[in-house]
Amino acid sequence: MSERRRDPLSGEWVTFATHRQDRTFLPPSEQCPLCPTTDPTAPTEVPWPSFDVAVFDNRFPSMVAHPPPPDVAGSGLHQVLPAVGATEVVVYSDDHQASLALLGRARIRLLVDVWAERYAALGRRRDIAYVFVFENRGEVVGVTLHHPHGQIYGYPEIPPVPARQLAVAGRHLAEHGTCVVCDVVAQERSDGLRLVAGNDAFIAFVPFAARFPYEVHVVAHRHAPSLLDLSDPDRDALAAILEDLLQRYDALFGFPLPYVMAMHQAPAADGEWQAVSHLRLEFTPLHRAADRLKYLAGSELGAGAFLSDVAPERAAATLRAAG
Amino acid sequence: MGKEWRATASGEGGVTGQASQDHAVADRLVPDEHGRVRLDGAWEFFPTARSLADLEVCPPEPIWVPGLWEAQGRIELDGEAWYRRCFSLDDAGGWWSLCFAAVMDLAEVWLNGRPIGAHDNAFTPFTLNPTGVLRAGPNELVVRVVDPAVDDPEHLRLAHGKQGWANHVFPSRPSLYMTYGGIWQSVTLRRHGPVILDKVFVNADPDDLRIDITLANRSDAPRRAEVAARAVGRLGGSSLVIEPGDGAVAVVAFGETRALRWSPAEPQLHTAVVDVVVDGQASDARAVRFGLRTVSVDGTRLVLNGEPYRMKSVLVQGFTADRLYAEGTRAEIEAEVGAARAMGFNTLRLHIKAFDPTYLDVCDELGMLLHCDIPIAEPIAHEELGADGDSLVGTRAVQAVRDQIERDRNHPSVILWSVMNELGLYRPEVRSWAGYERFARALVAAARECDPTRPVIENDWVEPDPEHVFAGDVLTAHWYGRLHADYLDKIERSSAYWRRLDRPLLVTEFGDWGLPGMPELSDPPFWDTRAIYASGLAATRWPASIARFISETQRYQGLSDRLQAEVFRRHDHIGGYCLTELTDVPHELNGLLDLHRKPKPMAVAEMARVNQVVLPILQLDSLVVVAGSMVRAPLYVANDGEALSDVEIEARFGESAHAMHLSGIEGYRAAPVGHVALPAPGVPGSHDLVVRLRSGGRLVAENRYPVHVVPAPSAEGIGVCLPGPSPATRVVLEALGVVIGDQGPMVVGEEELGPEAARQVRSCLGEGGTVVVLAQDVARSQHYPIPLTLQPVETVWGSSVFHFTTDSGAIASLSRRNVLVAEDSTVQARSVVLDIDGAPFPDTPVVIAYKPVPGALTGTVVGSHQVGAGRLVFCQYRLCGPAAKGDAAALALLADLLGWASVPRALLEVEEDGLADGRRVARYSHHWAVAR
Ligand SMILES: [Zn+2]
Ligand SMILES: [Zn+2]
Repeated sequence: MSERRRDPLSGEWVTFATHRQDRTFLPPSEQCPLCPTTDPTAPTEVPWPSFDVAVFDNRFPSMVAHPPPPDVAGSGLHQVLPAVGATEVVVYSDDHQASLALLGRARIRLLVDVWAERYAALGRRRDIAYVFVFENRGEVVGVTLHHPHGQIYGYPEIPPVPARQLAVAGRHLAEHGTCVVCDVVAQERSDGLRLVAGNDAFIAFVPFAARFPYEVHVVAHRHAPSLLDLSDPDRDALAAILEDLLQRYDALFGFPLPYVMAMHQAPAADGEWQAVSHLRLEFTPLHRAADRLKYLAGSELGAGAFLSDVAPERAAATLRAAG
Repeated sequence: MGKEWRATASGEGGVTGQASQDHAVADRLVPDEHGRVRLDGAWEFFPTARSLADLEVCPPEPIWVPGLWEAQGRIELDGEAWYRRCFSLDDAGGWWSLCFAAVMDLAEVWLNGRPIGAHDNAFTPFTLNPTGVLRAGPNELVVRVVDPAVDDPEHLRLAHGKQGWANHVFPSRPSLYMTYGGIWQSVTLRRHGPVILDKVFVNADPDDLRIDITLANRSDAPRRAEVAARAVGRLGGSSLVIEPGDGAVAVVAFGETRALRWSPAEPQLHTAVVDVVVDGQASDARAVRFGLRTVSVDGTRLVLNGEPYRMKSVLVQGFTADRLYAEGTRAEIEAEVGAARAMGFNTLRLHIKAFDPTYLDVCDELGMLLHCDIPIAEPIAHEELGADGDSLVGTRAVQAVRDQIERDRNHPSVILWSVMNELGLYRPEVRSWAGYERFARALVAAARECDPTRPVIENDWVEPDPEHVFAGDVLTAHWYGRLHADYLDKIERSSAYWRRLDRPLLVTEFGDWGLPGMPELSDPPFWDTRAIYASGLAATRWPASIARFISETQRYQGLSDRLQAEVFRRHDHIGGYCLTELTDVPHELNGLLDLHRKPKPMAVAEMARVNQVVLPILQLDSLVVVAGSMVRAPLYVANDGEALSDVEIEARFGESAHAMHLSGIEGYRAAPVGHVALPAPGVPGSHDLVVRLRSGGRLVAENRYPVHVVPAPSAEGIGVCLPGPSPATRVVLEALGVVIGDQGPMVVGEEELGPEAARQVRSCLGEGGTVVVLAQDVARSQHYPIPLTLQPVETVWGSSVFHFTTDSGAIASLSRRNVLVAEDSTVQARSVVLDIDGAPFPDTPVVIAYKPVPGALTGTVVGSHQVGAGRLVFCQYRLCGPAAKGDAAALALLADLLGWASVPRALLEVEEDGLADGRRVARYSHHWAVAR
């Protein structure tokens, strides 16, 4: 079963990919599909003996360019569409044991160029409305392979979270004539209270209303709708601040901190969204303390209303001191 | 009124179909309580008929009245076509008028086979007398309509508007500037008494309110007419005898009144009810809406209700997507006028067209002021220009002025007439001809005679040119150019120069281009722009979506329009401006809204900003500054409202701020108030320089400038060699810290690529070296080491040249994939590389110039290309002159260019493969190279 169904209550689309149940789950490292192919008789997903960064189509995709027809017939109420889109895996290194924080700035800089290239390439496809770069790190966020990697999804429509953010930014633009993210960056830079790190082109800060204790947003100073809008020095600065932040995260509790990284850029038809899209990497670790996780419970899951017991200003101070 | 004429009314209103002749159905029509019979609806149409007799043999097609035939699927039809409407009346007794609100262009009318009159203006109403020809029972009304084609000499002898305009630039079709035809406004038959109210003019003056009433005796006996007029709570009248077939004027003077005034803020309307009684019976009546307000010229200013008026206008052409050259519904007009108002415009220029009166009604109600053009425009028969009676074109034009002003002069929203537009544009010597002067004087005199209450613009012209303005009250300028420091300087100088005038000066046209959204339509209309622009853009190497290019051009348009308007607002003696235009008229794409009235958001926001009543303005030399450098600029305040006291002005740029306090700012003036000096942010990129003005602590106005901050330009330690002495180049390079010797790339200075330099260039490339060739003129293209064509880029009216960056990122001070708005506005590219080595682009284009139709052109401004073992880097921006003067953009571009040519940078390399199951896999790495 591979299809997309629309929830008539929320209006949101849910993608079904039941074949994903069969996917590789935490294989032993010698069977890692993301490792380079050293023995041609036992090829992995990457057919070279070594590589810097590799990208391939997911073997268990939830969305594809030419999806099969849905299993069920839709109705006016229950709408169903083929699961069109793209799912790519981005392997950060050919070293199974590595992690982004330890790969060095040059590799992160290469990764920034790769993300930009894939954003442009997928964004050119007519069936893709939104290109989403993300990483799940750590078993607590559902990682099935330890080899350092991230993913890129191309959705056929703008997913609910960015859609809501774009709508808010649109209202802000109409009311104030400015980009809300630009205004936030200016505010955070002058407040300084929630800053974690910063350089010439980017800041990393705990948002004013962080939903998770150590949530950090990495945002461009200037209004760059996507990675493609960054100059080379900007890209260098992004690589530097990512390395800085990830090292702080790993120093925070003394172990590699699991997180979800979500990169928001302009939707593929970037023109319409140019004024309200502002490149942003959102890191969401689930830990509240070294031994405690923040679970989504009644208020968060049922009502979408987040409760937090860590003051963002305090979390920022802690992260500034870490690393 | 009118009841006595309803004796035969059956009580069944409306239309009842009843065949009376074999070729047509005659509707039975019944006059309403005002004696009116509407003849709108389905008519018979004979596009192939050439005489009245042909109507019996040609097959009719249905057509709708009112409406242009081009809007009803007959886009190709030019010239002659015939209309017929058959109807039946129960009673044809009494006196009648047949009113055509407008027929485009020429009309001849027959009723029951007898000619009853003709009209030769596309926009103005005309009334015919069918009395005695109209009969009880079936009637046959026939109209021959002629729409002379654009190449028909008759077209040149008509007072017309945009029909056929500039077809040499924008061929029509697909341009909407084609000729149109049809009964495009309502047709009404009206029954009345023997004496009618021909014209009613309320002079709107609260100090001396007068109503001029023109009567006509339509009967064949002398009649005594008792005329009465009621308005603002007063009643007046007179009694006069009118000879048969004659007319008379009755003046009702009410003197001073304290009734509520009409103003844009409080558009209070009044009604004057006028009736005429003959033999104790109501003969005719009319209700005329008016407003009490004054408009006058005081020296170089226009004054509205005693208050200085500054025009903030936008030009409207009256085209719609579905009705083409006809206005939309009342609701659509309200939305359009409301949108202009929301953008801060206080005036609309209704351009060379007598708009549907509903448009003027809406403006009266919403308080939107109007500058109304009489449609007398190019192309016109210059040799035949003259006064009323001198020639057909002179007679027609004077009549056009009279008819339109008499129709529209009671609308309080109208404050200004233009009796011609850009007459002589492509042949300016015409304005020195005696015939032109007679023509101009006759038009202005006719306007004044019909309406002594409003100022008149004689020929809405491209320069104030006071020597050739013989009778007009107000001078105008139409100044067009693209966003560039040189152009802003030019209009700055022109604005300052014309301070010497003794009449008001309005910049009644200016404005740049931004493309409209271009959705893919399944059945696109003939004027749809997408096909042309999408294919044009596809050939340009634009790296992103069409939507992004469009939104980028709108950003360009918004800033260009605003910075130009700021120049006009800074000059107190300029009475205001009119932006071209409110909506696109494809393929003229300079609207703030597209033809469907969808806004171009960034252009709208910028115009709303500049239209603020109070506007703090910085006169910045450039919108490119070096990070951390001091930015200094004169500060002006344009105040179109009352005086302000306790004024605080704060300029903020990143973290830095500059504040000044003023005890007050004069009302209705624009004046310099001081200087701003503050350091630029240390972070490169785009930053807004924000200026806020507070009075008594309250925020009154905010202005902002998107400033492009570049890193301190430096090419410190970079070695280059020069093929000759190149003193000018040397100075600029040394200022950037370049080491000139025999190491590093070869740099060929601007206009220095001669035979000797070419020899050295070839030798350097042959050794695998890199050569940077700075801007060369077209004649030097022969000296490039590979075949290369340089094409001059000229900015002429028609479309803008857009410069954009590719995804290359080679020039770090320019953002990738952006239309350059102000980033390159201090450096000029007078010519671009049209092709190189047989290909349209070099292997690495960085900045591309794209000029859409007309005269479409795509070329490279900055790029690099492999030549044998070496690499040729070229830049057609003229950098050295501005760089020598310290221009930040020029210095940054030059430093980037040298860095690109000499310092290796990381380039993404991709190696692709397929997995066994067909999935794509790729590995990526960095490759270090120079100028790639
Ligand atoms: Zn592995
Ligand atoms: Zn922003």
